[in-house]
Amino acid sequence: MAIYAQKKGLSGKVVGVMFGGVALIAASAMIYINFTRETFDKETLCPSTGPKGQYVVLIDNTSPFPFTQKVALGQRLKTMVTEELPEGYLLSVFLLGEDFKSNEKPLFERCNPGQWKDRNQQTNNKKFVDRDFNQKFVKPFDDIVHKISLEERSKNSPIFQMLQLVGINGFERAHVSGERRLVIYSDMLANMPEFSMYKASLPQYAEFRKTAYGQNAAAPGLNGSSVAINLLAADQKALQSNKLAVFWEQYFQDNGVSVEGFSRVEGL
Amino acid sequence: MSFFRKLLAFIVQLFSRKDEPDSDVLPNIDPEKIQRELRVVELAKLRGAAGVPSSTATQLSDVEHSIRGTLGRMREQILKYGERSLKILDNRLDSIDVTREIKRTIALGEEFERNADQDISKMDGELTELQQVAEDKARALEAFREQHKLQGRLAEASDGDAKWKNGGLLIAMIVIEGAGNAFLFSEGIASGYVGGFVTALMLSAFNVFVCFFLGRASTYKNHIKSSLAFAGYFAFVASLLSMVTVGLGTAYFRFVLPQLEDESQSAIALILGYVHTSVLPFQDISTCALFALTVIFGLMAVYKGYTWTDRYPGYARVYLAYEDAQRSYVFVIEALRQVLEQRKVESLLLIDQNVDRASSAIQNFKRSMSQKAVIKKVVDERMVLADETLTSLVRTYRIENEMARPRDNPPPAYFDEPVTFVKAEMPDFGTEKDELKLAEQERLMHEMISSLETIRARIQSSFNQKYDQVQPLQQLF
Repeated sequence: MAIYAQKKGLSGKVVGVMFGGVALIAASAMIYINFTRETFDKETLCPSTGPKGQYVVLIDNTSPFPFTQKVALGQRLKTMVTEELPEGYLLSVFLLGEDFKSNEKPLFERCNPGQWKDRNQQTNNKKFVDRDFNQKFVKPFDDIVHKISLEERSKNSPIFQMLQLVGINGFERAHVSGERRLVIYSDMLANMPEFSMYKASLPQYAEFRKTAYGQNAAAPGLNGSSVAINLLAADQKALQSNKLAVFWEQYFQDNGVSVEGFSRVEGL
Repeated sequence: MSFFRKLLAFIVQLFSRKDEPDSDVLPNIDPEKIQRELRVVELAKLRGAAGVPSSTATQLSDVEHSIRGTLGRMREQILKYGERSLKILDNRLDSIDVTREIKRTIALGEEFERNADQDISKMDGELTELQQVAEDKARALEAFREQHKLQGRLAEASDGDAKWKNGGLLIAMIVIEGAGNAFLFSEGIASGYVGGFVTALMLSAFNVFVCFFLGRASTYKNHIKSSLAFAGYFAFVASLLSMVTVGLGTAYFRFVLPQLEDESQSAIALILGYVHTSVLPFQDISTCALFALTVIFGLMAVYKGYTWTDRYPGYARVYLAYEDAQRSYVFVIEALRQVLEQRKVESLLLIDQNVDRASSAIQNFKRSMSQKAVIKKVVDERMVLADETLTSLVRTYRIENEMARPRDNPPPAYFDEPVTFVKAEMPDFGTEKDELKLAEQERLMHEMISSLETIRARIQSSFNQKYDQVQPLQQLF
């Protein structure tokens, strides 16, 4: 009569659904996490959803700078890359040279893939994260920076042109929706045949803006970004007065850029 | 509070049994009161002083008439009360008859049998159909057993319930193996533990499912046909090969993962390179553990597949079909048994209720008879009181009248004669007829009580008989 007996306790169906269900839910959750985790482009190292923000670095290579300043610049750039640049942010490096036409494209442009301490340790492997960060991001950046001599003496220093190119080929081309930050390493002394900050005394920005050159120097591509200026020492240090700082501050504000501040790079 | 007391008293009074005569209906004879109301003494003195009635009078005076008339009306009321009470009691006694309950109780045995037949008839079609199916399945099972030489061996068939359980455990096994291997894989995968888990899960699912189905196929080794038995052995060997292959593949995969410098590098190409150069992947404990885990879970999956249901191919299916048919039939019989059981319980309850009702009716009968005696006593007492009051009041009148009369005017001669009522016919309060009826009712009651066990036994016997009638299929087992 065993086949007629009513079963007591938990039925097999309940046990099966309980164990199988829990296992399936756990497995589904893991599969979901795995397939929805953030992935990176192998070339640019940017998140598949696009960069979360953008840092553009503009380095002035039109004047020879003291050795200590070069060391300090290298260290500041290293600190920025390893400590300040958030994960997923696009880093673009532009060079300010005598001929701005040959420097229209960034020397380096990659996203920060992030470091082990910033990443979800369940969905990442330390070895791969460290490798991506050091070998695919920091090392190429270092290589580029080390190639910049910082000892060239140029006749021209097309700062306004480079700022316009940074706006066009830096911020506007990348079209990043997050934070946009411009970091400048320069003596900030523009020197072009049409306008030179070396020759005559520096005009007020309001006067400069009225000139034909001043009107053409506007950089709308920088609008909405912030700027941090690291002032490198010029041959004629007297020119790097407060007046210069005020000029640039008004220039950037006029172009919709918030100025974070001026900082002199150490070095004699 | 007093309101509630009054209300309670009212309710108690409403439902209380009134064995005593109703004072509103039965007149209360109060000689003093009548004497005052009729001014007997006063009028006797007045009339006496006036020499009324005259010495030669032969008829009763007006006062004497009034006394007799007042008491006569009361007497009539007493008689009416007696008649009415008697009628009520007689009606009540006539209405009490336990014969019907007793006959119904005795008939309950037959009634149960009739109702049980009706219940069985209602389910007859379904029962016949299910019985036919069950017999067919039983024959098919026997034929299968004969054909495959399985006589005397019960199938260890897993039903749907067991399959749900084993299926759930199988899935859990895959996930557990995946979770176990995930740590080992995560060392060589960019997506860390989660990626390792997913990779391990896929390999584990492949390993477990392939081994499970090959384990299922291995049951053919028990088949009576040698060709199918060979296929079963082949499936078993294939399952061993599969788990070793998957284990080796997994170990190689684990072995080459840390060596991949770039995600664009092919792990397969690297593995094939090691295979061509005969390099085994067992270089560290993790890889060895991975291989061992894969083989262990593969063996477990083979075992699960092999023992999924009966180990003789096809036996479980035939047996489960037979078992389902039997179960359906037995469940319908069980449902019918419950219906019959319910009916039996109701019948037995009805017997008890009938006995209680009959006992109660007889008690009421006896009570009504005793009430008759009470009423008779009350009526007799009141009638005597009326007679005595009449005599007393008339005597009072005549004495007072005599005392007030002048000396030369003696009372009339009729003063020496007593005043009486017209003889009234008393209601018959006799209980001889009722006692005969009571004796008959009690006899029937005894008869019913003595036959109760027989009636109960008949119902039980009928229940057993009807239940047995619908389960001849038991003989097939």
